[in-house]
Amino acid sequence: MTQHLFDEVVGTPPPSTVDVHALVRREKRAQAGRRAGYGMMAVVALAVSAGVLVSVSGQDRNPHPAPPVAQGAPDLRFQLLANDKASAEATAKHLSAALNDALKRAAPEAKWVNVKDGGAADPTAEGLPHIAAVNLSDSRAAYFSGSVNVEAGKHVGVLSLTTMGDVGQANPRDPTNPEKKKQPIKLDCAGAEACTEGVAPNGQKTLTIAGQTGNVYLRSVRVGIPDNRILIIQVGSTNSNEAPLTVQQITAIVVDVAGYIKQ
Amino acid sequence: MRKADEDEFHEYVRGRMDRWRRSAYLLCQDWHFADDLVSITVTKLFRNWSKVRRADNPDAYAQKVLTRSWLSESRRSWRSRERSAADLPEQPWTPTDRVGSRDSLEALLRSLGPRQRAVLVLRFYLDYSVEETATILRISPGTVKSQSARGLDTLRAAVSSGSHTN
Repeated sequence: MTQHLFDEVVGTPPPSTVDVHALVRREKRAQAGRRAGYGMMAVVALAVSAGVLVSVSGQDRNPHPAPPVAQGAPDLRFQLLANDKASAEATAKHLSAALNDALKRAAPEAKWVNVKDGGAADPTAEGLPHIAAVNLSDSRAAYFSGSVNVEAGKHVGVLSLTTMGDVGQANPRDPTNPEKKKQPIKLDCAGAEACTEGVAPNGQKTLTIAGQTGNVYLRSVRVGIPDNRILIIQVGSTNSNEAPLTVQQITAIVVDVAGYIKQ
Repeated sequence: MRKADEDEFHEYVRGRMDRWRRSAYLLCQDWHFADDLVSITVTKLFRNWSKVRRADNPDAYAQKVLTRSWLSESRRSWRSRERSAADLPEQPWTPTDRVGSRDSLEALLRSLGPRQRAVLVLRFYLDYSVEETATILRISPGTVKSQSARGLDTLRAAVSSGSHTN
């Protein structure tokens, strides 16, 4: 009796706009993205817990990376400062803008996208990727990191940016250990599987690592940046043939962003 | 998820889509919002499909997801839509406003808060018991009874009026 009354309120429903197949596809991508994100976190956690990868020998990186602007134009380079919340937020914004510019140059057809319940944060209101300082409470172990969904053509994946290493800092888990402070870690493939050493067009040494976490295919490219740090750009996708960015594009992006970072 | 499980999920959703859309509409009284709620529900069900299909009552589980999504989204949409207004809001519904018709039920639903509206829809449209409604909404059975009493009065009046006018 009352149900009839409720049905009268409902009236005749309009055609449904719920696309179940699209929702399922999107959720599958999101699940893959989350796994890619976990993979990235695992990489960072491993490196931090092992106390390695926190410095790059000077000869492994270009000591004077070319600034990404023409001569005479304003110097857009910045330092990776994380002395306090304000400086960390300013650095994160610089990194975000640098990453955005690098993507436009390396892959003009690519764009940051929202993926509901996806594995990465949505782009900011300005359409930029979210980058944030992590572990800011311990400046010795602070680093910058961010993940954002990227789409090119019909392919969507998660792009992650991470900086690793601190200037001459000790092992974050043992900051008083002077031996660790002096230990140089080279940017090379020693002990790493599916790792390729290379040289970027600007002469910078690169490390390209391919991996898989669950059904997520990961491609990451690393370069050295000033102050004995490493910059990593990683892209995860659910199919190796459906990655939104090629290794060449990822390399171009990481080298471009690295060029913004000064000592 | 295996192909067979995914097919089973699609079959399950297909069989309940109309019911979910109707109940979502009664909760929010906006078809776009209703379809958004159903989309959110479908996504959550897919994410937890292995758990849903093992549930004692998958339909109650699904309704719980839908109703809680409504409560969550209504709080969020209120925050995001909150703005100053030049005019005073409409006066809240009071028992003396009863008018026996479909319009009175619509007005009643509009006048109620999200949770109270959900109580009426669950109890009197979807026929859930007091205990089931309390579980879905995470409130006590006593609260369900008190919140549904007022709605029941109006429904009785509406039905009575409808029978006179028919």
